[in-house]
Amino acid sequence: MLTLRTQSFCRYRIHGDVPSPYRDTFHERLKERRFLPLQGEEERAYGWATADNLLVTDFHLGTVLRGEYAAFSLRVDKRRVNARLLRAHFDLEVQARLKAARDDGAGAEGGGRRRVKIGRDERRELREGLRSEMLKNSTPSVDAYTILLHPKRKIVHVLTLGRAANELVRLHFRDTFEAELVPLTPWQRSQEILEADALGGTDLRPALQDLRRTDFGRVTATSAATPDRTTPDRSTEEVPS
Amino acid sequence: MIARAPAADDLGGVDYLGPEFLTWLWWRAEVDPCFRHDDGTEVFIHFDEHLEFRGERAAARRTVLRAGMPGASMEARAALRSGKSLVAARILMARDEDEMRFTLRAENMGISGLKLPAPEGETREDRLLACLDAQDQFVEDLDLCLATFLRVRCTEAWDAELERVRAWGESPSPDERMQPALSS
Repeated sequence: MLTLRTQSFCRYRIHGDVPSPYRDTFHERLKERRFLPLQGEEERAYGWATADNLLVTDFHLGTVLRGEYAAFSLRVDKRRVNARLLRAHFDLEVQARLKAARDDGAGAEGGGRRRVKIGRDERRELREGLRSEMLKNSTPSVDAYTILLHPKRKIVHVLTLGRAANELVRLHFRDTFEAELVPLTPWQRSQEILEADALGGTDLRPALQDLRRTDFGRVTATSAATPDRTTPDRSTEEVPS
Repeated sequence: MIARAPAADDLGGVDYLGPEFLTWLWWRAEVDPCFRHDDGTEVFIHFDEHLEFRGERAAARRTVLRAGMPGASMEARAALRSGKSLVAARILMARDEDEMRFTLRAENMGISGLKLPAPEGETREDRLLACLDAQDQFVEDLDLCLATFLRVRCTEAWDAELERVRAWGESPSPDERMQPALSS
């Protein structure tokens, strides 16, 4: 269920043409790239789902349109094998096989003192087999990131600040709509604001191109040469960048 | 002054533009917190309980101030005086009777923890649409602040504005004024 009372988001401008959410084409594109559950030994699966319910991938006006926005989500399922657990299973299995080999050797004629070991290929096969089995039995982590798309303004809000999630949204959006999501960073948004101002007669865009960094402290020989210092207390934390 | 690198990424090679905006906004909120839209609607800005500074010259360390009213602290002014700029801050934005709190990450304008006003409406759908309207309003208000900054930053008026910010930074913070014995 989509709720927006508290949210974190990154803003993007759509560069390119995206079909209107009022048209079937828009919903068909989402369906083509909808979420499909993890198969076999896949470690990650992602695709579009509705914003209201990440189990629903049926897109139409009723499930997508919210006021002037199109709302949907990118669902990402991931599963992984815990390396320590895999190692523990592997060690137990190796010990069991070595014991079985020693027991066989002891029963064989002239055996008992022969050193047994497991070859590199067998170890690799064993590890892969265990990994595959553990992967199939593991429960995936499930995330869903809400996307709000305003078609008239060509604006998209991605409701997460996670870098990996935002990059995946941009990638999947491009694959789906053949359009780019350009982050509205201070630089990008400033260009747009000054472009709108220029239509009113004042063009400050050249000045934006020529900006130089401001130092809000007064640069003196002493301050430029010595490290910054502030007085730490309980509310202060000095962190190396 | 350091010449900017060529525009080669989403930040246009000016990764300092966002921190400069946020630092200016902090000063502006202290001396004149009111911003006006063309239709006369007023928006008020107040810096809340989280300030994060980053240094540009000397050691590029971060200073994070969290508890109480960090904007009034001597540590915040000290960070500014030493040439650090704000890279993140928790802000309270008010328009009419509506208040919204959010954290602005200056480098990419990422918004976190935005708390919209309690939406009105009988149905869930009505309340959702009210939230979308409030979100639109929030973005408009934030853009108003950025536009106001740009109209000073990209003109000759910036030098005088910068002097005012520096003078404010050098003046005693409210905490320092309250504790003259400690600060001396």
